[in-house]
Amino acid sequence: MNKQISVVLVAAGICFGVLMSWQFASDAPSDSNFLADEISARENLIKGFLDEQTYLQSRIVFLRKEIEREQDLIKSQGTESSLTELEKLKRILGLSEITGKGLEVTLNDSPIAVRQGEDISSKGLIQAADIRDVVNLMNAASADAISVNGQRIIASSPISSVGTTILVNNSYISPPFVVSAIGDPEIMIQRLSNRAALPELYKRVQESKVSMKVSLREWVRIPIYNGDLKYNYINLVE
Amino acid sequence: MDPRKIYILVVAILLGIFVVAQNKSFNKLDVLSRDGKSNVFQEIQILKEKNLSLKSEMDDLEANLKLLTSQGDALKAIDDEIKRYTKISGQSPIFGPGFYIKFEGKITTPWLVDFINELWSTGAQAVAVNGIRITNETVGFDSLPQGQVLLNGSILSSPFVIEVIGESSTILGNIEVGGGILQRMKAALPGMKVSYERKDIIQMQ
Repeated sequence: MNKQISVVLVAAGICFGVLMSWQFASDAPSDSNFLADEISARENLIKGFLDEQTYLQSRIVFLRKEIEREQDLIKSQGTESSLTELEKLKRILGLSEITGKGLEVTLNDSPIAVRQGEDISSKGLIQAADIRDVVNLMNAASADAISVNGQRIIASSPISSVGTTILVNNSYISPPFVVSAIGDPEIMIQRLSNRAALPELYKRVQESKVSMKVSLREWVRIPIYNGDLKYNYINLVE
Repeated sequence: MDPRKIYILVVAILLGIFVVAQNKSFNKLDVLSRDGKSNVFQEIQILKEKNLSLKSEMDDLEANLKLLTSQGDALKAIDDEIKRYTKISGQSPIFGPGFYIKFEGKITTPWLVDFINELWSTGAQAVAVNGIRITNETVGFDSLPQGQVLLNGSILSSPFVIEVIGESSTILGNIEVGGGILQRMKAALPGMKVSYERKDIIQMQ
């Protein structure tokens, strides 16, 4: 009898301990309005920044096009060689729109994964590292130009995450994530098909049902870079 | 109640707590991941800094456009733009203040990609790996079957020396932060040694 009571006590104690720990670790929102107000204030603040960012990016694209138009107008004034050099630099830096043959890689979360509120560790979510790996692979396959969800990728483009949100060029993007690349489709397909080149992504495609779809495209448009270019610490060796 | 039974109950409760704690710590290991966890303050900070940079870029472009439309200054505006773009295009040698960071030991391609990504993300203006400057024309990182790292057609071997031009304090502060890229790399690549040094002048080809 004594032994039976001890067994019941142990079982009850373990259950109580487990439930207590889960309860403390729970992310369930409290009844207090304070948390809801805080979340709402945070969302409004972020929305304000994002609206401003959208305006600034479109203004930058507009100004770059205006500058190009003005430069075309003064082409005949002995500036031809300078403008040719400038055009070349702009092409290198991703400041010209490019179209051509290529492919699109579409990465998407597992149908059962929910991005809102989930932990970035969730295996069913596409992570920034997956996009970085695909972009790097396209670069290694000598792609001429790359974009992710319409954001032109240049050498200094960061692809990172804040919680479950993914940022490219520090701009928010949401799934599905479409990596577009102009270049030799055969080389790029060959690289993408190599499971050893993307081991983590292929593993999660199999195990967690995230999806990766590659489509060949006869015509891909890669937009101009709409971000800032930092250079104030750089000096040219004369 | 028999004191022995109370002890048993307490021990059992503690055991339950440990089971959950242990389970959670395994879940955390799972995300010893290549992407760090950020909080809302970082999120807002990133957006704020991004918008400030965009504003500054917009001001530069507006000034440039103004110069172009005024007859006498158009040539100067074009020359200034060429100079500015030459600095970042990788077409000419450059120099500036910054630091170098040295990794000794085995590093895999994904971690190098992540580290360079973090440098750009935290404000690096120019980056070179073992003397190869990373520009839009650099062929990306690749892995060879034996695990060596390839960059721009050259095999890289340890030590991996990454040179950076930019605001050293900000960049180093961000990569060294707890849970930051250096800590994640150290956890994922045991045996790797890291050292760095700030420099008044870093030169790149």
